[in-house]
Amino acid sequence: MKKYWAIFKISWQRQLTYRLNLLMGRLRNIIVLLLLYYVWLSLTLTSGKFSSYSQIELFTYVFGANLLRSVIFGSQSRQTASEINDGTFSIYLLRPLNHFGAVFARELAERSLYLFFAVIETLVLAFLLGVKFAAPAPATLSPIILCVLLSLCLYFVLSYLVSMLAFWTREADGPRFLFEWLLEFSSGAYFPLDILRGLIFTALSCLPFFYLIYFPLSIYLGKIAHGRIWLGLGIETAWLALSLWLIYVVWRRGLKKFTGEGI
Amino acid sequence: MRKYFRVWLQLSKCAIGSYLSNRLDAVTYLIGKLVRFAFFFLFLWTIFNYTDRLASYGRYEALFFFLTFNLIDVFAQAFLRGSYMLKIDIRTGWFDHAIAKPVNTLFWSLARLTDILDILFLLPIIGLLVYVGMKLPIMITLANIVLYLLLLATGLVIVVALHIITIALTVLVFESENFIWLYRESMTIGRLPPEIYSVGIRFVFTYLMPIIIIIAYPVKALLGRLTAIGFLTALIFMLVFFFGALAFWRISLKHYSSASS
Amino acid sequence: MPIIEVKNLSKTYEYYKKEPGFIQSLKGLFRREKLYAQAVSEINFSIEEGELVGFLGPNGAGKTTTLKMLSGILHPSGGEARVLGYVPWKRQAAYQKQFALIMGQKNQLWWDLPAMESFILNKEIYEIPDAEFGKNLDELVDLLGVREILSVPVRKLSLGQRMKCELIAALLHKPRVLFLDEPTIGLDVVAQKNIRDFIKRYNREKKTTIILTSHYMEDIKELCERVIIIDHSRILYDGKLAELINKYAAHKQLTVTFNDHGVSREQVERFGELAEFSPYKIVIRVERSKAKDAAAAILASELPVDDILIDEVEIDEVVRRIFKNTR
Repeated sequence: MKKYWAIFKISWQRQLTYRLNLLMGRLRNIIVLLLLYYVWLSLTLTSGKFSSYSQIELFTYVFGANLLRSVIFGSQSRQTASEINDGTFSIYLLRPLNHFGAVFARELAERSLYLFFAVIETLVLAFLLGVKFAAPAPATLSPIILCVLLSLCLYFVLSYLVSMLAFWTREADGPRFLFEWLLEFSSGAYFPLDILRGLIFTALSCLPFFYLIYFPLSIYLGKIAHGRIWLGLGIETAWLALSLWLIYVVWRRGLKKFTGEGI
Repeated sequence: MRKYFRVWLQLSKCAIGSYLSNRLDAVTYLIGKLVRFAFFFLFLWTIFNYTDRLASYGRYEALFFFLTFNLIDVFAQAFLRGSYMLKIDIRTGWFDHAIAKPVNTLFWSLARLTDILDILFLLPIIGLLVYVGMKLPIMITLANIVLYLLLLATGLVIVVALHIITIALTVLVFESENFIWLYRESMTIGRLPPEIYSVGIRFVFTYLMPIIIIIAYPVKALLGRLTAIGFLTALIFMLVFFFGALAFWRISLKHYSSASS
Repeated sequence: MPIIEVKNLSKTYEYYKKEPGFIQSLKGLFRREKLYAQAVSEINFSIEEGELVGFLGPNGAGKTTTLKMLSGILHPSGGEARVLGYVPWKRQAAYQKQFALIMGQKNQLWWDLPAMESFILNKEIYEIPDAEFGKNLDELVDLLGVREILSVPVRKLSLGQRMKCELIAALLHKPRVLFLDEPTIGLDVVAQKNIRDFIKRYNREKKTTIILTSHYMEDIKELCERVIIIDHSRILYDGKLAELINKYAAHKQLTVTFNDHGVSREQVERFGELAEFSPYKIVIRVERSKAKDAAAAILASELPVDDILIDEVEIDEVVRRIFKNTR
């Protein structure tokens, strides 16, 4: 366990040395946040609501999505693909260190750092823009926290899976790009998915991404009946379990294919 | 001049060859971009299921802003992608080789990677632009179209200048690929009509990072909503940015410290 | 008229201090200390046309930095230099068309494509006419024996083959000056020899002026009559390799083997400094001028000499000693 803690600490330090990178990353999120804020502001200017959402709910959604994004959308597993492709992955096989665990430790380090910044950002921006948030729906605190934790793990696992494509191909950047953009929308990070009616919404709700951001935020805003909350969490857990099992399967196949090319 | 065209041609051949030898990457990138495009388009379209106006613009006008954004963005992606490779090139020593060769280093850094799939992507975008253009609820005169194209060109010059600035920064500071991303993420603002933003934000993105000049001004010119001052502003920005960027580039090359061997 | 002239050339790098430790990282967000690294300090040398000069020195000595300045990649912090009459960092096309730079393990070839594509790219960049391009290409390809691999993607080639293609790419425009930075690094023994042979031959036939940096003694020994030793940003020695040995290696080495009953220590001590002793083999160090006499004396004595060998002290040893003395 100590060694994973060491990795955690070093990752924190690494993040801080690339201070410009850090700032830029935060700036990026802020710009998207502003875009969405102004869209909703503009759309709710006259009537105070849009579809089934009040202005306050929309703002809460946007800021909440931004916060959740920083916590859930990690980036450490991305390196895995290049590690596999340039052969440095071999180092992990030589050391008494579990790659998955090591990357997860790095990820937790980065996420906690980003959470810190995200909370500050959110509060400052909300203050500057004069935004008030909706209160969370009653008795939802524990399912929300549970959901966020599950989402963090689920995203990490899915991302790791995509990275493992690198066992079979040198080209892992394209699929990752596709994965990330699919995710941005189908997770609800941009807008509440239920404004899309009919078939599209139903299709999206069958994907695991649905539970990453849209689901916890819907719980918060009280859009989901209590019974369905636990059902949803169950489904999310099932997705997580499935993905973990997939990792196990793919890992074994992948290692066999792994040639240590490039060292 | 001919030499540069021939170099560009071979460079593009190499870039495309390299690209195509990575077929999975190429295809998934294209699909990813289409997904992104489709989702934003869907979002914009859906908004108008619930409302008539987005900051005084109707559905097709709003879409026209979005499509113009894509036109410029994808054009830059298609021809200026080389800027994103710079950091890797410095680390692998490729950039050093480029400096030592009798070819303009700026040209090389920008043109290093021509993306054929993005060039192809331009076609449906232009098609959609024409289609949406025809559905606009106002009369579009030939003069408006000409102004649109002129301001489009102005915007593109500014975009090139921005790319030059970002690669100059990469050469100077090295660990700063995020500067390119800063520009690209700022471009996001241009997806939608500028009137939705507060006055402050509009100021920032018109006069500091002139996304609005690049994207919104041509559209407003087409819709007959651009003032004479607007035109003048665009022109001045184009000149200032372009020559400023070139000067900055020259300075950065002087201070280049190369990657260690 | 020397083709390369360097006067008081210096280069200092700036960088930021990165302290280990968590608190330091947090501090680093707000304020960082700037440090300076002296890569090259006021070096002077000149090289005539057709010379093959070796730059020898440990890692970080300043060899590559010097080459990069002469290629125009880096601006110096002080001093001046001229190659073929041009100031390198002005990066004039007329100059750039007359030299070539090769850096071991830092390819200029496109990774995913056959080397041929990179050659054509260079053809356009250096504006080589079609006919000349064809001729040069054929000549180089035959010299290096790589015709079959020209259409293989570079990433699939071995290091040795890649290096050969690098050489071709660099020599297509028939440069008058060639800068080789660690060309044999990472190559196996056979590949190293191939590259060395090629360089030697090319220099002899085309009279190309070549500066070669390496930290492999073998490269320098094989190729260079003249060697410039750089350490810690300064030049320690500039002159013929042979003289280097004379100047810094005052001794020769005699290796004598005996048969019959062998010899005892007392019997051989008087001939010179004993470096090694065993009853059947000794190694003596003798002053250069006295080496022949010592050998004659040993042979004339009644000792059961089987064989005798007069040798130089290893060049590597010499160079090591130079570096050690200047610490």
